[in-house]
Amino acid sequence: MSIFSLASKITFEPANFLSMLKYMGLGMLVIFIIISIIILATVLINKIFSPKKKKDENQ
Amino acid sequence: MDILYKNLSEFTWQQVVMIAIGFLLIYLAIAKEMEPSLLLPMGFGTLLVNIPHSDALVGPIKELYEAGIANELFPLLLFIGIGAMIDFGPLLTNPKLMLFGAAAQFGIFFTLAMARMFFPELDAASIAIIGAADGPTSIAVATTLGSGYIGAITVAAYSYMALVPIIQPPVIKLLTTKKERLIRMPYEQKNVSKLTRIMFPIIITVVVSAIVPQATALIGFLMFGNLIRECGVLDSLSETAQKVLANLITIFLGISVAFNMTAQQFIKIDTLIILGLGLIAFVVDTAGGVLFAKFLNLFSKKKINPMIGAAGISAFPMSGRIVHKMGLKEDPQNFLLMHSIGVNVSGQIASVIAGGIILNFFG
Repeated sequence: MSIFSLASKITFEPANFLSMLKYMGLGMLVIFIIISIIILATVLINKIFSPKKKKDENQ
Repeated sequence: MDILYKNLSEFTWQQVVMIAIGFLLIYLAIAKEMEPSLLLPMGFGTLLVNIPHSDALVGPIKELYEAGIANELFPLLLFIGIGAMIDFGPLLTNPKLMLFGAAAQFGIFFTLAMARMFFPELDAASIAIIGAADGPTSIAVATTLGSGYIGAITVAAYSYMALVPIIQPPVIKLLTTKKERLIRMPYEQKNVSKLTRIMFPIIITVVVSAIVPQATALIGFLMFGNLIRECGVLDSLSETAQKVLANLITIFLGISVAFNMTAQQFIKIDTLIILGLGLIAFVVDTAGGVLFAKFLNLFSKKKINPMIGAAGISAFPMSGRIVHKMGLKEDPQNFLLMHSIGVNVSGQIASVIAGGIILNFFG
């Protein structure tokens, strides 16, 4: 096993960083959208299924 | 007498290095208690597969790998156990905390861009998911994308998860002022109904799967485990999932990951770069959560202690506890635990979603 075979797949192409920026932006956007939907759904189920307060029978 | 030294003479220096790495993993697991349930089987497996002509490599370990990792079964089964362990109560009390879980996934996408400078697209995507700070997700995504670096990715993911107490505090301190770290966040105890707890895993599964179908198995198994916990009629199954199932799968997962820890696959400069990128992922994840909290504070009347953003990294429950401890260190009366654990479990959900998004982009 030569030192070159140890690093057979390695290349250094800084330009590739820029080509991934769209995935960075899109990925974070999609995560925030999904999490926002989950937050809304959670608020909704909290409201629908919240424990009902017992009314004071004296009133 | 040949039999005594024939096989010994066939050791290569790379195999000797790998055996040393195996010893190191076992040492870290036992002496330093770093993720022992996984690092110990991995360390021992590393010994088994790096003996010249080892029958373990071509026999049981290969079979276990094919049966449980190549088809993603072990990570998914482990998710049932993890789901059964998680209490989403703090999150259900304050759902807005989930935003921090989303922000703390930034490290994944930043590392994707960094890794792409060195590696082909699919390998870069697999390496980026180390930032999920969640071993099963890392293994499942790397396997689906067919990365040849599963061994290095798994070692990085689990090692850095164990090193969260060392990695996160300096990053948090660097990005926050003492005044910010002293911000108190009173916890309002709210009752969460049983029905809400039951509906939550079901709705999360439907919402996430409908938008990112590539995450269906990951989120589905996680939430299935949680449903077993919360339904109230399967206590025995819940206990089994949390303990017996999780432990059993962890043993098999650890030892079969070692299939990718042979000298030929692991002793590469690539491995060092992957370890470096994994560290970047954890640091940027932490920074992402903290900076997002600081950003929200610009508009919010009720100030948020930005340290809780760091708990969005997943690495449950360690990260949440670290933030809590840091809060207590600054002010012994500042109890951030419920908030930080809420953020922490949201990080678990967000990291699975991030895994699904990566699979959607590159799978």
